[in-house]
Amino acid sequence: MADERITLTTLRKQLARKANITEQEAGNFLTQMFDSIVTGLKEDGQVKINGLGTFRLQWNAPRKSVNVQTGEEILIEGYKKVVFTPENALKERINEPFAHLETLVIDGEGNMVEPITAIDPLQKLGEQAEEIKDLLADLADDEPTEAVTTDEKEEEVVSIEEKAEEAVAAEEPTEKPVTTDEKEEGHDSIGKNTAKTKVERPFHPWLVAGITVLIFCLLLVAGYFFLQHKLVSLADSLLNKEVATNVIEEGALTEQEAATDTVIAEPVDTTLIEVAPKEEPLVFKEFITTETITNGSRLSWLSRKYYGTPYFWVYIYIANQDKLPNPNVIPQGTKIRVPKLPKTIGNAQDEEHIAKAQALEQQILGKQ
Amino acid sequence: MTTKDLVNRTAATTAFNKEQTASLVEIATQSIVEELLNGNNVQIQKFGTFEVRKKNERVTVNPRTNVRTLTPPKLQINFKQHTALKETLKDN
Repeated sequence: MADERITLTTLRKQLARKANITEQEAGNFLTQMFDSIVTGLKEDGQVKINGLGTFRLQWNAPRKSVNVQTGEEILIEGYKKVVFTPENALKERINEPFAHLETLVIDGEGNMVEPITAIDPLQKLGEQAEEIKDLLADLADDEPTEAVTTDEKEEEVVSIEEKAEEAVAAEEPTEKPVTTDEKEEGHDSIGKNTAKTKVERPFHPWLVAGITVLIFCLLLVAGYFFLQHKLVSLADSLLNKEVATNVIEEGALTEQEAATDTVIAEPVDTTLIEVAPKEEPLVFKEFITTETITNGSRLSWLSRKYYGTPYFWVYIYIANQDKLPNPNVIPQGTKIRVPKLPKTIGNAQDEEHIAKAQALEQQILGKQ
Repeated sequence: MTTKDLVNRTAATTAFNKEQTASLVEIATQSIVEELLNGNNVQIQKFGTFEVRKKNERVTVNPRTNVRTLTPPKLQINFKQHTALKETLKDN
């Protein structure tokens, strides 16, 4: 993690500058100081320095080992080793970037633990079946003529199911058609006789539950299209007075397909238009908190603490630009207000957001 | 040896008096600490190197309760003595 190597030369310069002595005097002083530390270690075995930590001598006992080249046994002599323990206050200061993290308890797969009450998958399926029945009941209640439209509904159901099945082609087929059929039929007066017996297989509860949730979501989407379809097909049915089932079925199907196509096309177009990015100057109105700068803290640490990634320091800088002409120079004691980042730019997981922050960083540092 | 002793010892070998050396020692240690807080390693010739090391997060298991814990990452200061020191300390 070294940005630059600090040696006695650098320390000498700093000491000379801060203490108003010549560099030579400072250099000499430093050498003497460290010599005294070594002498103190020899005499007392331990040297304690306030604000830094403690140096101790640790005795490593002689041990047998092997000469790696010849293979013969050798004896490593006992020796005294200098070990350093930093002061507690210093330990905490140095760990400031990670200070907000805590240890967590996890389970076998690496997830955060809360005792999970085992859910019976069949029960879950049953509950969702009820919900979907109710949903379809609400939708179907608006129908004025049952005779004509139930056939169309059947066709729509078939077409929707086909789409749903295509979309989920990889998933287990046997269970899905059974459950969707049962749920959608539960309400129609004309039921399709697709009594398939459920195949008994060893249940993987999570797999079943996952598929059920997927089916549920797909059916909600289907229900949405269903509603739109119904409005279109209602108009069509009023125009077409022929009641020959086959003709209507086919005609309705193609019209629906056309309707579906148009319905699908429109949202895509509008979303494409909306996605065009707008550039606006960044003004932060909401702030999470105010932080006071202590010795050695950095905007990137604050960014990491509040946003989860150090790259967003640029936003903290922008929010406090009136106090900070130079992002590298922050006087101690400055009160920094940490802004609340809008979701369009503040997601630490989003690569684009990070790239954006990095671009801003280039901009800011380029001006300096 | 405490800080005070260190100050006295250093003052004896340099031209500064005790108060001056006390403040100089403090300034020197503060400079080292500042550099460490900035993430830089500090290498003192003939003495050793202070490094800032990151420990990654890891899964620890309590062998008795079998409770698995995720310890967060942290930064630590590590000191590695100069090889010549081993010899000088041996003469004791």
